[in-house]
Amino acid sequence: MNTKKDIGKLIAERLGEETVIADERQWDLIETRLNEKKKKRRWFLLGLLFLLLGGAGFLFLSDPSEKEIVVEPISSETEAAKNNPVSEDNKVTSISEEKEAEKENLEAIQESEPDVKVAEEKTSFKKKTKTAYKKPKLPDTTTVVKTTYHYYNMSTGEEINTDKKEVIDSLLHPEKKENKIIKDSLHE
Amino acid sequence: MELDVLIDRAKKNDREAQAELFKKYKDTLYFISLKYCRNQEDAEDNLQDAFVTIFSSIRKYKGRGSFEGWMKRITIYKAIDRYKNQKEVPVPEVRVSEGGSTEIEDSIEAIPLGILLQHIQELPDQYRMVFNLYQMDNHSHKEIANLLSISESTSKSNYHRAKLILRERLAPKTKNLSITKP
Repeated sequence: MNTKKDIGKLIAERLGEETVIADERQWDLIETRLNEKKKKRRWFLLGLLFLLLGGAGFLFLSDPSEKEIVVEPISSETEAAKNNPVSEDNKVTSISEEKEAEKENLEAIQESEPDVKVAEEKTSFKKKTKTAYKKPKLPDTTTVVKTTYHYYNMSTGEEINTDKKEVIDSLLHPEKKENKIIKDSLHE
Repeated sequence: MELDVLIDRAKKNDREAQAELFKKYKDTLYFISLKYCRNQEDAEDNLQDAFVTIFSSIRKYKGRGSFEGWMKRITIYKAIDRYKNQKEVPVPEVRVSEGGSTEIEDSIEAIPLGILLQHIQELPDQYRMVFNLYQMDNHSHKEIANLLSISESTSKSNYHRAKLILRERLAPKTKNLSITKP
C-alpha cells in the first residue's frame, strides 16, 4: 500500500531521474545566429570608429588659431618687464613698443647728425598679428636714406641741388605764398 | 578535453569549442526549457536563445560557481523573459477546490515522461513558472516574487494552485495505470 505523498515532491523526484535528448541540428541554427551577431557587432564597431574618426577630423580641420588667440597688448616696456621678468632675448613685447623704440633710435641719430634730414622713412614693420611674438634684436644702426633733389631749368640754365624739398617746390609752384618767400630768399 | 580549456577557447569565439559545449550541455538545458515553456517548439526556441546568450556573454563567466549552474540560470531567465514578453494564452478555467489536498496515494512513476511534461506545460504560465522555480530549482517565494514581479503571497498561492491542478489531472491517470498494471 502506497503512503500519501505531496504531488510536487513526486513530480520533482520523477523528473530528477529523467533525461531528454535535444536535437543536434539545433547547433546549426545557433551557429548561424552567432555569426549574424558577430557581423552586427563588426558593423557597429566600424560605425563607431567612423564616427570617432569623423569627430577627430572635424576637430583637426577646424581653425585652431581661433582657439589659441592670445591678445595681450603691452603698452609700455615697464609693463612688459613686470609681466615677463625674463632675459632680454626672450622678452615678449608688442608692435607699438617696437615702433617706439625705433623712433627713439632715429631721433638719437638725428641729434648726433643735425645736418642730415630724413627724407623718407623706409621701415618695414611686420604685420600686426593677434598673437604675441618674440621681440627681434634692434639693429645697432639705422639705415638713413638721404634724398637729394635736383633742379635744372633748360631756358635759363639754372641748376640747383638741394636736400630740401620745399626749395624745389617753391621753384615749381611759385604762386603759393609760402613758396614765394622761400624762392625770394633763394635769390637774395 | 577539459572543461576549463573548452571555456577558454569558447571565450575566444572558437566555434569548435562552442559546439563541444553545446553537445555537452544541450540535453540538460533542453530539459529545463521543456519544463518552463508551453510546448516543445517554445522549448527549442528557448534552448537556442539560451545558447546564443551563453556564448555571447561567456566572457562574463569568471569561474565563480559551476559553469553548468551559470548556464542553467541563463536558460531559466530566458524562459522567464519569454513568458513575460508573450501574451498570456487564455487557458480553460480549471476548477480546483482551494482546500483540497495536494497529496496523492499512488505513485506517478508509471506515468510516461511525455505526459507528465505535457501537464506541466499546460499549467497557466505564471503557475508553471512558480511551480518550477520553487519545486524543481529550489528558489524561495521571496526570490520568485522578485523574479516574476509579483508578491510573495501570490507566489505561494500560485504554487499551491499549480499542485492542485496537477493532482487533479494526474490522479486519474495513476488509477488507470494501476488498474492496467498486471
